[in-house]
Amino acid sequence: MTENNIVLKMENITKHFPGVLALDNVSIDLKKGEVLGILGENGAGKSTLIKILAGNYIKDDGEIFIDGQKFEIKNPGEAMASGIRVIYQELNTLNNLTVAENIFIGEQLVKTRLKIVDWKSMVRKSKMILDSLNVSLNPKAVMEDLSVSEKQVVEIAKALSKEAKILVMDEPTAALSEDDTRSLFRIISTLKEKGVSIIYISHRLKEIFEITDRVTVLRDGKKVKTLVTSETNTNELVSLMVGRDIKEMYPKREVPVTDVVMEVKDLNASGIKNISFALKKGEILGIFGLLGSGRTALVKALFGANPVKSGEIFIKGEKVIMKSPRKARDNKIGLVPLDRKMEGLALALGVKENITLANINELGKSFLINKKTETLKAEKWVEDLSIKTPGVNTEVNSLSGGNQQKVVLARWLESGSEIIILNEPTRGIDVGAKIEIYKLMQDLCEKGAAIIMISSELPEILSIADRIIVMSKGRFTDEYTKKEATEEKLLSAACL
Amino acid sequence: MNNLEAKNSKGKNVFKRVFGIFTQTKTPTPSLIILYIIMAVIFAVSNDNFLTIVNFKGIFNNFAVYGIMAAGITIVMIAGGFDLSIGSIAGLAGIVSAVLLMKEGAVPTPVVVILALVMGGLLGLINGLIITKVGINPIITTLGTLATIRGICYFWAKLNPRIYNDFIENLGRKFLGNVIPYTTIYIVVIFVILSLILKFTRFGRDIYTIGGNENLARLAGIKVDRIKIITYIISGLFAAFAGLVLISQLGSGRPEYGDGAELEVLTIVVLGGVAVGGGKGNFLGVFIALLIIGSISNGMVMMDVPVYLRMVVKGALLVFAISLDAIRNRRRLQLY
Amino acid sequence: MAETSFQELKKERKKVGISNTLMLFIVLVIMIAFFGITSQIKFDQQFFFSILNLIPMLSNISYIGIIACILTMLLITGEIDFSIGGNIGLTSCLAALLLSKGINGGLVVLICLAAGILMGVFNGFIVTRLGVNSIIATIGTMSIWRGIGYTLSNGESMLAFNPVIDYLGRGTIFRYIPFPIVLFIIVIIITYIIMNRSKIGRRIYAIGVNPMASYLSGTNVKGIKFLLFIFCGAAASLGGLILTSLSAVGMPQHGQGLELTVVSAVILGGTALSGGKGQILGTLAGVLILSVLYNGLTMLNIMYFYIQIIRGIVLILVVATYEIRQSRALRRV
Repeated sequence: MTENNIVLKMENITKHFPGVLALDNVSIDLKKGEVLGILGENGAGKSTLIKILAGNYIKDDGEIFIDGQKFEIKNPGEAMASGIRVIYQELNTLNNLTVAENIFIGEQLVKTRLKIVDWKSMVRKSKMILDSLNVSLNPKAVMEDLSVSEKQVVEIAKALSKEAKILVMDEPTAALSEDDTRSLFRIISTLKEKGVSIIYISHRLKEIFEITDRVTVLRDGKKVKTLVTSETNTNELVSLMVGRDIKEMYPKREVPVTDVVMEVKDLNASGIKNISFALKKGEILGIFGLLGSGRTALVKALFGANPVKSGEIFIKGEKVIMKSPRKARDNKIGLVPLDRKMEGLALALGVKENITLANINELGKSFLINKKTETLKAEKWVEDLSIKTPGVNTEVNSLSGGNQQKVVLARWLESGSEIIILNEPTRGIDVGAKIEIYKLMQDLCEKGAAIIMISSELPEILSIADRIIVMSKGRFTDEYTKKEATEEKLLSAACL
Repeated sequence: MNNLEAKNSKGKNVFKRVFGIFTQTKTPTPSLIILYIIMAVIFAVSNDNFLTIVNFKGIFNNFAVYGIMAAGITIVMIAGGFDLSIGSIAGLAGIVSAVLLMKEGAVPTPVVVILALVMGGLLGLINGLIITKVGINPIITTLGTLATIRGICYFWAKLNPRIYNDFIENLGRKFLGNVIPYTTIYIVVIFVILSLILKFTRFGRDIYTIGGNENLARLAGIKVDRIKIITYIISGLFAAFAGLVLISQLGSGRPEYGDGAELEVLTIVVLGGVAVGGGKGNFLGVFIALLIIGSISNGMVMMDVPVYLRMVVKGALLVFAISLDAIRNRRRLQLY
Repeated sequence: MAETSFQELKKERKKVGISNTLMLFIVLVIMIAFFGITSQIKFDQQFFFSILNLIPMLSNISYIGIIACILTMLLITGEIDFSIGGNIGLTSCLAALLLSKGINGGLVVLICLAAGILMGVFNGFIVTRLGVNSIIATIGTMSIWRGIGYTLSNGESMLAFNPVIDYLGRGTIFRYIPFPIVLFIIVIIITYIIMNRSKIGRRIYAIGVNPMASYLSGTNVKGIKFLLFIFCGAAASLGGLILTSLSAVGMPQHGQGLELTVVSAVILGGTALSGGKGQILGTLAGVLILSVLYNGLTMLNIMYFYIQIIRGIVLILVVATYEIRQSRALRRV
C-alpha cells in the first residue's frame, strides 16, 4: 500500500436537514487500496455522509476531491461515472426483474450503437460475479422469489458489476450469516489487492477490527477521531463512539420477575414456525436474529398484523385470537414498530395527534374530541418522557429520531399497554436518546409492564435483556439467560 | 430416446425464448390465454359465426383504435405513469386532420399525417413535462389535459368535415388481399416492435426499472424524467395515429370522436396484466386482452344484447379485470 | 439552535396552510366582482346578482357541493370514487321509473338513497376487501351504474313530477331560500364538524397521512374507508335526486362527466389525491369557484368548449401552484 496516495478526500462536509444538523464539518480521506472503517452509533451521520458521496444528497458546504481533483457530485450518475459504488443498507432491489438485470441496473450491457441489450453476456457476467462471491444463484431467477440474504448478495454483486475505484459498504453484513460474512471478507481482501479503496460502515466492532486498516469515528454529526485500527482497542472505540462510559450507556436495574402475562404456544404464521414462549411481568425478553430471520413476522403475528395459521396466544391466562392490531391494543399490547416513519408515525400530524392515535376513543365522552383533554394528555407525556418539542402541535416530522421514538412509546403508555413490543427501538437515534429509551424501558418494567425487545445490536441486547431468544429461519433456535449469553453464542445460534 | 428428449427440450426452449420476448416478467398471460380459449369455445358453440373470418375482421376493425392507443398507454403504465388524455388527443388529431383535408389538395396528405402525429407527440410532451417537471400527479394532469384538449376539438364543431382523401380512407378500412385488415397489421407490427424495444433496448429495460422503483432508478443514474417524458410522447403519438384511423373508419371528423376511449383502453390494458403502479406488463397479455374484449363486444352484438347492457358488461369487465389483478397480487397482503 | 429552526419551520408550515384556502376565497371574491361588473356592462343591469341568476346557480352548486364535501372525506383517506356521475344517472332513472309506477314520493326517495348506499357498498367491498385500486374500480362501476340507468330508462328521459321530489330541488324555506341550499349548508356543517372536531375525523386524517401507522395503532382502516364509500354512494344518490327535481326529468345522461367537476373542485380546494390533506372549507371554495366560473362564462355567452378548456387549465394551474409553493417551502428550510 502506498502512503500519501489519497484517492478520496472529503473536507468540511456540512449538511442540514429540517431541525437537524446531520453533518458538521466532517472530513475524511481514503488511500488507495485501504479499507477505512466508519464507526458510529445509529444517527451519527454515517449514512448522510455516504449519500453525499454517492450524489444522493447535495452537501450544504465543504469540498470533495477525487485523485486530488476537486469534484462536484451533483447526481448519482456522476458519482458512478467517477468510480464510486455504494452498497446501501436498505435493500434496493427490483423485485419484478431478474437477478442479472438487478446486477446491471441502469447500465445494462449493450452491443452495437443502437444500444441493444446483450442478454447473453449479461447473464454470463452475472454468473461470473456471483461465482466470485461463492454463491449459486441463477442469474435468470426473478428477484421476488429470493430470500432476503440472497437479495443482499445481489446488492453486493451489483456494486461489483463495474470497475469500482471506491466501494462503499453500508452495513453489508446485516443479513449475512457467519459463512457469508467470511466470504464477503475474502472478497474485500481480493478487491484491496486490486487497488480498490473501500469504505466499510458497521457498528459490529469485531468486523471493524478484522477488516479495516483505519477507522474514523463519528458521533452526532461530528467527526471524533481517525485512528489506525491496529493501534486501538474496543474500549477506546466504544468510548469515542458513545462519548461516555459503557455502564452509563446501558443502565440496568434488577426488577423482580413475577407471573406470566403472555404465553404463546406453537404459533405458526407466514414467516414463523412453531413459536412458543412465555413472557413474565417485569421482564425484558430479548429476541435476536439476523435480517430475514422472521423476527418482524413474529412481532406482527403477536400484534395481530400477520394472520396466525395455527397456535394459541394467551394473555393473562385467557386465550385471545389476535385477528387485528385493534384486538392487540384492546388486550393492552403496544407495538413500537421497526420503521418509525413508515409504520410508527403519521409524520404530517402533530405530536399531540400521534400520542393519542391509539386511544382516540378516550378523548371525549361523545363522538367529538375534547381538545382540552387531548392537549393535557399529550402535554403530560411530553413532560414525563421529556420529549423535546416546541409544543404538542408541532409536526412530528420536525422532531429528532429519538424524540419521535418517544412519541411512539408515549402512544402506548397513553393507551395503558402492559405488554410492550419494541422492534429495534434504538435504530437511527442518537446516543443520549438511546440511554433515555433504555431507562424508560426499565421504568416500565418496574411499574409492572412486560417488554419484548427485538434487536440486532449485540451489545444492546446483551446488556438490556433479562433473557434472550435467538431466531433463525422463522424458528427459535436457542435461548439464554442474561448470564449465559455471549456475542459468539448468539451469532452462531442465529445462523443455525 | 435421449436424443428425442433433448430435441423436445430444445424445442421447448425455443418456444420459451420466443414467448419470453413478449412476456418479459411474471404475468398472468398464460391464464389469459386459457380464458380466451374457453371464451372462444363458448362463443363458437353458441354462435356459428364466431369462428368466421368476418367476425375476426370485425373484432380487429372495431378494436383497432383501442389497440393502437393501448400500445402507448402500456408503455406509460409500465413506467408507473398514467394517461387519461389519449381519447382527447385522438379526437383532436382526427378533427384537425379532417379539417386540413377538407379542401382537396390544399395541404398535401403526408404533411397532414405528419402534422397530426407531431401534434400528438407535442401534447404527450406537455403531459410529460407537467408530470415530471412540475410534479403533478399524472391522473390529475391528464384529467386536466383531457378536458382542455377535448374543449379545443370543439373549435371546429360546426364544420363537420367529411373525408374524401384516398390515403386516409384506406388507412383504417382497407384489407390486405381482402382478408387481413390493415389495422390488424398495424397492431401486430406495433406490438412486436414495442415488445422488442422493451426487451432488447436499454430504454426498454429502464422503463421497467422506473416502474419497479423510481427512486432506485434515480440512484442507479437513470435519467428518469427524460424517459418518463418519452413514454408520454409515445402515448401521444399512438393516440394521434389512432385518431387518424378513427376518422378513416368513420368517414368524417367530429369533435366528440374518441370520447371515453380511455376507459376502454384502460380495461384492455389492465386485463392484459399491466400493473397499475408500474413495473409489470407485456404486449402479449395486452394483445390477448384486446381479443377478449373485442370478442365479447362483437359477441354481444351478434347475440343482440341491448346497447345499454353492453355498457354494463364493459364496466363489469373492467371491475373483474382489476379485481383479478388485485387478487393475483395478494402476496403483498392488504392489511389496511 | 435546533429550537429556533423548529419555530421557523412551524411558522413556515402555518403560513402555507392558511393562505391556500384564503387564496382561494380571494380568487373567488375577485371573480364574483369581475362577473358582477361585466354583467352590469353587458346587460346594462345587474344580471349576475339577480335572483334569476343566483337561485339556479346556487341550486346547482348545492348538489355538486354535497357530493364534493363527502368525497373530500374519502379523498383524505387516499381513496377516490369516480362512480358518482354514473350513480346520479342511475338514481335519476330509478326515481323517474318508480314515480311512473305511482309509488309514493317519500318512499321513492328512500329507495333511491338505499340504492346509493348499495352502490357504495359495492365500491367499498371491491376496494377494501379485494384490495383493488379505487380509481380503476370506480371507473369501472361508473359505467356499470350508467349502463343500468340506460337499461332502466331504455335510453329515454322520463318526466319526474311528484310533490316530494319537486320540493327536494325546487322547494324553498322562508319563501326565498332554496331547499337544496339548506341541505348543502347542513352537509357542510356536519362534515366540517366531523373533519375538525370528531374522533372519526381524526382517524380519517391519520389514515390518509399514514395508513400503516394508523392500522398498527388499532384503527379499523378498512372499515372507515368502507363507511366513506357508502357515504359517497348515498351523497351521490341525494345529488341525483336533487338534479332530477331541478330538471323535472329522470334521464341516464344526468351527471355525465360530473365526477370530473366534483373531483376538480375538491382538488382545487387543496385536497391531495394521495390523501392526508384537505379541508371542507377548501372544498367549499373549490366548488364555488368552479360554479361561479361556469355560470359567469355562460352568462357572457362564452361557448361551452371554451369553458371546458378554461376549467382544464385552471385545474392544472392551481394544482401546479400548490405543488410549487410546497416544494419552495420545503427548500427554504
